[in-house]
Amino acid sequence: MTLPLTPVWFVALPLLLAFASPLWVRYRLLMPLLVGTPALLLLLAFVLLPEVRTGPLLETIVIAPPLGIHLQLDSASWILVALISLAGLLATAFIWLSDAEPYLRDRRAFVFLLLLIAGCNGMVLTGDLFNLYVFLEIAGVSAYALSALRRDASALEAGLKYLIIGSVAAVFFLFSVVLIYLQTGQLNMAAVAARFGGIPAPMQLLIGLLMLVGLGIKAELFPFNFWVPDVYQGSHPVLAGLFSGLLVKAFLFVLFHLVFLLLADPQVAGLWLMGLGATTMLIAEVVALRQEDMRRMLAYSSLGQIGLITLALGFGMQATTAGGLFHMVNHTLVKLLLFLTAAVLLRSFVSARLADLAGAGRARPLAAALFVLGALAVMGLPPLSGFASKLWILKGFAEAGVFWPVALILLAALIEAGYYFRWIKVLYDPNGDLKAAAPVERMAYVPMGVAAGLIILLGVAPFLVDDLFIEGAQTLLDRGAALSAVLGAGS
Amino acid sequence: MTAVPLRKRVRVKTLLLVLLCGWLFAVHLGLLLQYGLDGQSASMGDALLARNAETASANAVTSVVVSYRGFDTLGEVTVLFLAATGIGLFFGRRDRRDSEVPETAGSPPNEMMVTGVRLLFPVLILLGVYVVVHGHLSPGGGFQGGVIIATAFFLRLLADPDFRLSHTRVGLLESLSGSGFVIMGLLGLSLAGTATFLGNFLPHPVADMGRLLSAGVIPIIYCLVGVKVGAEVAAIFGDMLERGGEHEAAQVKDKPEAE
Repeated sequence: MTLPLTPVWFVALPLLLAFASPLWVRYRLLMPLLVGTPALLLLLAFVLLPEVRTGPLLETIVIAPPLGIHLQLDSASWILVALISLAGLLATAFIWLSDAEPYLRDRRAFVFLLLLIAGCNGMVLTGDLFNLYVFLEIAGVSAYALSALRRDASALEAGLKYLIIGSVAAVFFLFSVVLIYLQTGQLNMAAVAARFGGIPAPMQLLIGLLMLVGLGIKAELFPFNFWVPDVYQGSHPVLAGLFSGLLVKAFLFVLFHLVFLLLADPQVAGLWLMGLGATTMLIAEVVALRQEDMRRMLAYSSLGQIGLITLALGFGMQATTAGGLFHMVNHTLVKLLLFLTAAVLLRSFVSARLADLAGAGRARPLAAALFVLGALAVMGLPPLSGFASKLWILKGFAEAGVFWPVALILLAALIEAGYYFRWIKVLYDPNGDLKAAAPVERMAYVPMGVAAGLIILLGVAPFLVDDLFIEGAQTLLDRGAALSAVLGAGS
Repeated sequence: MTAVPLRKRVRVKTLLLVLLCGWLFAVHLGLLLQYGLDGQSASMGDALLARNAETASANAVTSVVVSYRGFDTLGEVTVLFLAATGIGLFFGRRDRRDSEVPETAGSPPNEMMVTGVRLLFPVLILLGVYVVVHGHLSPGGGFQGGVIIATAFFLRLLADPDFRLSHTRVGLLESLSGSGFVIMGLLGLSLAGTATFLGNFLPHPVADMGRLLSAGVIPIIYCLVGVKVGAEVAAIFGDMLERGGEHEAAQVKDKPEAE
């Protein structure tokens, strides 16, 4: 009897610990396990890394694909799994170390947080469309409950909005899966991909549209993202950071994974997605200029970055895709850092409104400094990691000779500079005289410091991780290899 | 006439949205109804049916639900668990001492209800257990049987004001069965004979097909699902009823809850 280290642990471990939660309450293990689970998963990801780099890791569950369900850990999904575990680790460590509000530390929050991680991992790993839907629901339902956890008016509004819009999105996605099953008789993604070209063109269009609406809502793309700021404002900032850092990234990955896998020629779909991404980016950045609440401003800034990532991934060239994946990681780190500083400021000064934070930089110098660091990284200033990934994306576009995205990305960075400096100016307002209303645990800065350290490290030495992202982009784009890995050679 | 202008009374945007959704629904229905008329051929179902002897489960649907696509079932159980936890969060009482605190019930149940439930309760439990245990032999299984058991307890809650579901006990049952499911899966992964998550590691000879003790782990997993679904749905009912009680109590008099 052995315990093989396989990808299924990324789902099974959080599920097991979440189900057994009454036990942990009794033995007072809730907090150590909440932090320990993502830490263990991160460790497991690094243990599996050498094996993943030699070839994709396929794990069959009960019977082999295309009949059964399988999990696939390849270079692309590895990046996401590691990112999810890392983001989960930082956020849960903050919840533990900062002695956060009791509602974030009870059994229910434990269950929802672990299942959010399990759901995201499952979505990224699975190779089966219906299984994908199941994990999408797990991640979604945990997110709805998390956003309403505080149970006051704004949190309940956020939860209800998220619940309704999220369920609608899930139904759209389910419809598209139903149509695919009717047309091809398959649910395995690779087997579907092999037959997708045989589906009549109008039906392909309908399936594509349903999928775009379903995943577009979940991944917060432009016409479908009106609900995002309310949800981010109503939830606790740590949770908003998790939504922006982990949930949206998983959905974006699923969207592009499906586009690159199902479509033999993703050019047209990619162009559509690039258009959506560019609009998302510009509109969000412009709207962010006027926001008076820090959480809302961060929500719009997050949307802008999501648009940028969509723009980069939609182009479908190796350089931009690698840059887009890199930017995904950077944005998760940066947004998590910014939302954690927002949590500290909100805790200290009770309000997160611009007018109430004048001079907060002197009462909470460390938090304000980290906010500045995060803001500079979002804008893409050297030597921070945002610079490295944006440069990679811009170079990719320039090499391909397409210049309109370059102009738009630079314009967006300019607008970002505008509103982040507005906030920085207020934080260091010399006339403001703020007294912190509540103390903040010194240990709470540890996860923020780790995030900040990673941002600087990745900015100074991006060559450390270059290969990972290039391999990830290659795997994501190489449709033929993905098909033959699952269905065997000759298909 | 009200002074509200017409454009405020009829929301054009909402109307358009409703029309759009209706059109999409009609298109979808039109598409779906064309299928299945001539019977699907060469689909996944046939391929799975051909392999059904492997699991030795007389009910082929069960071997798909619990074994071949058991991973999905685990996910679905998880979604139900999340829903139950969420409902407990929003409908359950804020300060839950334990269920020992007596609550003012609504109007007392009438005689018909009490007598009827007294007769139905054991029958429903028996039926539920039967449906769960025979999941691999006949139509039914953990989900269906679990809901029947939960219904029995729901009726009991309605008919008997003194009857309470102990949250601790229901929670423990729920967590034990849920962890049991995952542990069965991990056992399948760790034993050399199967070496896959949710693999059927108990002997399941085809000769036994149709007996109560057959199909290896499938009946065990289905019983765990039954317990879990029963506990969760019962907890949902309990939470909703409790909320009603609390609401009325608050209306009758300001009952100090936080003491």
